[in-house]
Amino acid sequence: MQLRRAASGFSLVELAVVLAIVALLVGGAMATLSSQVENRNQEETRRRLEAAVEALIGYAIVNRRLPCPATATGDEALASGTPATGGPCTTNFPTNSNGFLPARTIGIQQTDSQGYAVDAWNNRIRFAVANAVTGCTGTSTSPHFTSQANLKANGVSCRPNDLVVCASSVGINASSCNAAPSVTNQNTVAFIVFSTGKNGAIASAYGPDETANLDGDPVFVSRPPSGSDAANGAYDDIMLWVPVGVFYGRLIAAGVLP
Amino acid sequence: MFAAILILGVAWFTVSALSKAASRTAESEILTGQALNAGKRALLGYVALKAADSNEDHPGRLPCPESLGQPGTAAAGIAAPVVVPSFPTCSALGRLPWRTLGIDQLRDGHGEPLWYVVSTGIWALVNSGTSLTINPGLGNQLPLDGQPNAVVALIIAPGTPINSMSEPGVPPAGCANVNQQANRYTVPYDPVNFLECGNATGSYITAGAAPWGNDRVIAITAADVMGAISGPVADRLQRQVAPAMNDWRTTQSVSSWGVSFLPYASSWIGNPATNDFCGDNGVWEGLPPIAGASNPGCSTSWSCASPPCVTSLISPLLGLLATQNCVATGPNMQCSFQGLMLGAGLFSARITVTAPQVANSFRAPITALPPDITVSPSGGSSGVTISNFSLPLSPSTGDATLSFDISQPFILPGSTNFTVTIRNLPDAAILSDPRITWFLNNNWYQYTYYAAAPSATVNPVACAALGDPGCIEVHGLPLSSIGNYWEKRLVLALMGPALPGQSRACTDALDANGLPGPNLIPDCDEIVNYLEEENKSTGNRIFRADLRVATPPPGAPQPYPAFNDRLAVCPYQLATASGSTTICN
Repeated sequence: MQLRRAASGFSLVELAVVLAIVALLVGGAMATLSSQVENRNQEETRRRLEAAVEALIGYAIVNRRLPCPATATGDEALASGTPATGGPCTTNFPTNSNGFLPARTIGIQQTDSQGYAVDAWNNRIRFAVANAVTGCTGTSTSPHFTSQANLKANGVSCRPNDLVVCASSVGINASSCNAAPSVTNQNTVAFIVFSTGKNGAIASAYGPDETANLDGDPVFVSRPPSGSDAANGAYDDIMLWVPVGVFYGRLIAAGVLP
Repeated sequence: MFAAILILGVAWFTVSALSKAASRTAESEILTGQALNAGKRALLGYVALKAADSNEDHPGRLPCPESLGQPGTAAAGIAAPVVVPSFPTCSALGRLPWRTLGIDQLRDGHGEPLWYVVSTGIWALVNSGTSLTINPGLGNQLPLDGQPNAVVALIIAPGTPINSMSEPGVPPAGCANVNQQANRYTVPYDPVNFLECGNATGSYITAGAAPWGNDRVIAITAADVMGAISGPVADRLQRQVAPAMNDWRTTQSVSSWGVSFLPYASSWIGNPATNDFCGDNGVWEGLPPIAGASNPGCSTSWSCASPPCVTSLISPLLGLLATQNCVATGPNMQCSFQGLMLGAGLFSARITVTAPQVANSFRAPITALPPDITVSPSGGSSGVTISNFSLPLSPSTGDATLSFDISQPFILPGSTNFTVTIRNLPDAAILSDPRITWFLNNNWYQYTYYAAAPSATVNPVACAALGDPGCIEVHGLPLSSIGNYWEKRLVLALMGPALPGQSRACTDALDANGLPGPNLIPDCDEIVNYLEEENKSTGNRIFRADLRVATPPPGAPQPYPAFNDRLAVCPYQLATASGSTTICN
């Protein structure tokens, strides 16, 4: 009589335990991986923004002016009839549908199929440039920064008089931080380059502070990131701005100004 | 088998962990370096922007740090004197005033905001009562790494908090056992909770050595600041100083002296820093003639150049002029004389005195009225009049000659003493023009070459065509509709820092060609050590404005200097998008 051999292998309980452990490990790894990917995207976006700032300054050194933000294409959008030596822009401050980095004009890589520069989430990088100036010793003809002639004629005593960065959208108005705490002085920022972050493609996910960055006025918000459950909603924009002193300094060092 | 896998796993984990730690450290160092460099760029950009501001009295002035009580408040990141209207004392050490600089808060590789040290009282205002004199001659003031007077400011990355209380061994010189973890973020901040090894106490070091210090420092030197502000200062020369001098030429000189002119230059003799800045008749190029009337080296005081200075206008039948004496007394000239009347009647005398160098200086005229001229007849009472007042300027000598008559209608026989006090010519309004206050108060005139076209001086020489002796040529400027490049009337050339091949030492034993030899002309006396190319001649009236690297001519001494002069000129016009704007006419 042949005895039935004992069954080899794992019991259901054992398998369940192993699967549970594997699931926990994979879940943990995925969470870590997701966090790392997110960090990497943020770092990559910041790197692209810094490259964009350098490209914009390089463009200004060569062309003796800043470009205008792009609207329909990756090229800068000068107002109708404006010569190549610059002048008024179609728009200076971004909205949902325009105010992009003029990637083709300044020769930036990492563009989408339509020629827009994009961040690590493939959302288009935004660009705002100051229009009005104040404090000039002499003429103060606008636009200052996007006109080769005006930039030279107005000179390096002119300070921007519209762009400003606030710490919150609560209390701001269309022209100043007003009751909101300010991050920069109103006569400081020459231009702003920013990413709308991971949620950039989902306008409905914007918090109020993010919405303020795309409302077409010169008042922007930059603050630490937060989720949608934060007091003033979601915020994941990444913003770099260039003080006018630094901008002038680079052009002076290059012999472009004064 | 299992043991081998275990050992390999542990080894992999250990190597991986060490590698990650090394990578993190390197990344932190990179981030710290980037933050320090960004801070320096922002600081110099801010200083340059302020220097270009027409209201800034001290171009090159550095901002104060954030005060130690500001972190965590609404005023965080703002330079201390800006925070409170009462302008509190600016301390030398605090966190970098990022908000004042117009940047986001910069943090080092460990997430700590940057700190900032500045030389207060010399490069930064201490309070509203202090004044500064900032120009290229102002040197570094703060020590660094044991070297005195090495920098003007520092930006410091504080790194992670250190607790070296239980470290074995003795801290190196300048360092101490510290515990920065206990009360690090208690406001007001205590710098020793962030900075180590002298960085909190004034003996600054570039990099702290573990385990006693972990600060990283980037230096800002006087040369950095001057490099940043040279463009803005040149811009202010063009937009403020040159137009102010041109206004003198077109308006003030005409209303004051009846003739349109720019004063002659002060001759380039010796070290420009010790020049008297007093114009010399007939000298078209040199240093700006900005010396005031109170400068003893540039006297435009009245003198009796052709005695007698008091002459009698009395009828010989009526009387005669007795003793007379004209002497300088402080800010005046005083003439005393005596009228000896033989009969009763009109007394009258003419006074004629001369002031030298008036066409070489910025001086205003005086009037016939008190307090410019006062008359004290000791024996008389009233009725003294001044008439026939004239104050012409001699085109040939540049001297002003004052002449007027003193009359008293009725004097009884006998002697009458008169004392006439004549105020010396005061400074012209241009010397207190707000547009040039910064230029004068900070001694920028010591670093600015001045040229007046012969056609624009008090004794004009014709400038009708290129090459005429009355013209100044300036090459490298935009085309203008208000005159040719050879019809410039005024040139102010800002001297850049000494270039390779240029020496400004006054004790150098080398000759003008950099060769050993008798020091007949010290380097600091020679214009070739200050200006370049066409600009380095004191007499050819040809200048160059464009910035470019020179091509050494054959046989030129090496290394041949590059070019760093910056010119302001009149007339000067720039195109705008809608036409043109005249910066100086």
